[in-house]
Amino acid sequence: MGVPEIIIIVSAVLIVGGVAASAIVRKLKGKRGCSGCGCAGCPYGSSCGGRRERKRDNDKKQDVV
Amino acid sequence: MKKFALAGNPNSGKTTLFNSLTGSTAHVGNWPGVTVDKREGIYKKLKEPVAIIDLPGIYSLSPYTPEEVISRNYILDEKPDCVVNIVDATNLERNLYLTTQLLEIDVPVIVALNMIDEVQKAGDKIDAQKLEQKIGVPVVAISALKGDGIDQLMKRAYECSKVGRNARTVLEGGALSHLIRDCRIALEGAGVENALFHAVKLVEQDEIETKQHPQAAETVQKFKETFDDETFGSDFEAIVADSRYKYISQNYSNALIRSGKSGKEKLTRSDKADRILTHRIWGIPIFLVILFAVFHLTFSEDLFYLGSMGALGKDWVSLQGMWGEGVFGSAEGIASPGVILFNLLDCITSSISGAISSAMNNGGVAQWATGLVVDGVLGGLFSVLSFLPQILLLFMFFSLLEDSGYMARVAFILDRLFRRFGLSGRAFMPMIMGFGCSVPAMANTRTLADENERLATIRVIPFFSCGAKLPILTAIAGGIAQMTGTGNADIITYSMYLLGIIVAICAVLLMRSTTMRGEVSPFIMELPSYRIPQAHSLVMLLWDKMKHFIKKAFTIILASTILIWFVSHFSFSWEYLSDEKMNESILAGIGKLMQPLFTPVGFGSQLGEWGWVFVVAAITGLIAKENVIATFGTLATCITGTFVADETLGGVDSVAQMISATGIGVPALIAFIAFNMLTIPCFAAVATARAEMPSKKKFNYTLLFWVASSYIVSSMIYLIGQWWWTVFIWAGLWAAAITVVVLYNKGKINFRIKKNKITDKRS
Repeated sequence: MGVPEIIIIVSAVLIVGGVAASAIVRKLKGKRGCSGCGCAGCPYGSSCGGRRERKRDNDKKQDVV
Repeated sequence: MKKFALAGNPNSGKTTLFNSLTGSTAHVGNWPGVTVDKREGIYKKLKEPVAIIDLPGIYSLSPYTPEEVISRNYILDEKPDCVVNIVDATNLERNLYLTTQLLEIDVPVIVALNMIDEVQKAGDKIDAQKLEQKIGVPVVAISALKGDGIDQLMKRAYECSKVGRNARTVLEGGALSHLIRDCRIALEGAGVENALFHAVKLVEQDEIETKQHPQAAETVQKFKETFDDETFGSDFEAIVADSRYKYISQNYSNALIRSGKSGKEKLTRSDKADRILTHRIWGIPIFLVILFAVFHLTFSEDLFYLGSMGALGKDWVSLQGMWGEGVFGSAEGIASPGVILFNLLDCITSSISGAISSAMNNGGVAQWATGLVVDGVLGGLFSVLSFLPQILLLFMFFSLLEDSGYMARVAFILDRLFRRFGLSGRAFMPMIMGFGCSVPAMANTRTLADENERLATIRVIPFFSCGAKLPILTAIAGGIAQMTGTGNADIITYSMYLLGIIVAICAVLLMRSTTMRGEVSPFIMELPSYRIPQAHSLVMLLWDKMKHFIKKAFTIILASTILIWFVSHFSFSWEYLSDEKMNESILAGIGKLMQPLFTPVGFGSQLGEWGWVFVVAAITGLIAKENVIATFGTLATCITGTFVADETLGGVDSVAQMISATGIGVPALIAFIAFNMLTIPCFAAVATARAEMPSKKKFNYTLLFWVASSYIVSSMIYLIGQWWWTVFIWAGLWAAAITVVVLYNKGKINFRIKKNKITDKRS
């Protein structure tokens, strides 16, 4: 097995693993699965970002305490 | 950070202002009810950054639908630093009705007179200063679309937010003012915030308020028993509404100076266009013609049927002998804009595949690795990406129709038809959104007040073929056109879209006459004026769609093609299989196991050794619908080599070749499209349906409904197409089903178990 074959296998594993891992992370963060219809048309678009904002706010409050 | 909330009537331009302030690309549309959830953004041009919250449109602070509740609760509970009340200046009186209610809350309010450019264009004038003096809060004339007056609006809103404001009401001195005052004192004594607002709502006998403050509600009820108005009797809600409108008319309306043209002269272009487009007889046929024109321009390989009419020479091919031969058309006809873009992208992707394949072969890379990259990954990925131009073009046409204000008219003309099937015309808007994506469409059903109507609409939204299903329709329609030798893929695609609509209507009829019976809510919708769609918002929408499509293609679809290639080239004993031996692969094994289940729908056991391809494609489509064609694309190049001599075929051509080579018939292909179109949608849509459903039980029934509908409809298509006489059997079955429904509705059949009798027997 040469270098190109190894690169192809590693890339394939990374892509599949990366997509699966990001899906699990999103799920754990409580975000919805995005169907790819676009954030502009998506009523949940702002809540994806909003959730992060709120978390940051909470973190700040805890820091103050 | 300070929070400014944008509140106003539906379609008054809140989201346009929000986009303008925050640089967002939130979807705007020329119809009421586009926004169903609040959005947040940041405005950075003031001394400090300010959070802007775009709220769903509301006509009043007495909510009827879930998205109206969001707006009311936000203003009352989240206590924004300033409420920017967007008022449609072209419809001043009605819009100021909400303003009079906002004034009753202890929150700084600023009025933004939006669409002032349209008022000026009509020759009218609004004296903003005079209006400001009368209302008692700042009034700024703006045009959210053109960006006029926005900076001034924000500066004044910022100043307002620093001062604060005490609530006041325009109902002072009216017949119910004493009662309002008594309620206010009682509520203030109980420590209720925004006592004046709650007092007025209590007097209006608002359902939420009555439940929250039962003691004060009792006082109102007692007073009501002794009260009798000449016009409205003791209908306090009507008295309050009338008082507000009278106040607006007497105090605010004179700020509007009309140009003085007579009613006939004032007949706008919108009114004239509506005489034709919303005609009670021609309205629906005109809509169907417009819809067909959209599909023809997107999918037809024979533009205006010039080829079929013999207007082109027999050997005519565009760019003959050059790169991109046939891109603009061939003897079959001139290609439509959608097909030209599709052909161009197909040429580019085929060239890339060819170049990579040559480079890998010349570099001595192992055959399996070349197969994985070229046939597996690129074959699958490019067959999906090729459809991107057609998807964008279709979205563009739909967006143009929506932004122009035509779609709102369609909802209006379909109301009469929909009403017969148990839905109101309002349900049409989320359905039309379903052509883009089921996720926002399902969320948009929040604008429907009736729970059963909302549930029925959510269930049928996936039947309106979304952008992700478009590659399935187009590729299979292309395959059918190739098999039958016709160039009319557009007619097949259009017919499949119509099939989705018809099945949706039949399903709604069935649901609304059995398990989801109820009154159809009245449909009142303000028809927006026709407007020229804005190029900027259209480009932003298409850019957003393209970005997400490409992102999806290079993540989930790319990963899927790798997995599909892997399981289709390895056996259960982990042995690598060449293309010819794919029938022994893991994927083939799983597909063959499930094949008998799909025999009644035409792509099961009857297809022989390669039939499993259709089964696995349908299953992978449950993750994302684009996967159906990605699976075909990945498998096609490998399979085609075993059937046909021309192994150089790539992309969609190889898919069409593979479809022909499996021996599947036209009825089974149409059944395959129908199955994929009507069955359980993608994961994201399923998750949204779960979130929007009132209970898990109803969600489970919904899943069952999708499986049953797809299976029944596709088997009907296949069996009738294959053996025409089965139409009588189906007719008989449907007649029996309808009879059962009618008898059930008349109470002559009861499916419920009589619990009492069972209890009696036990005892």
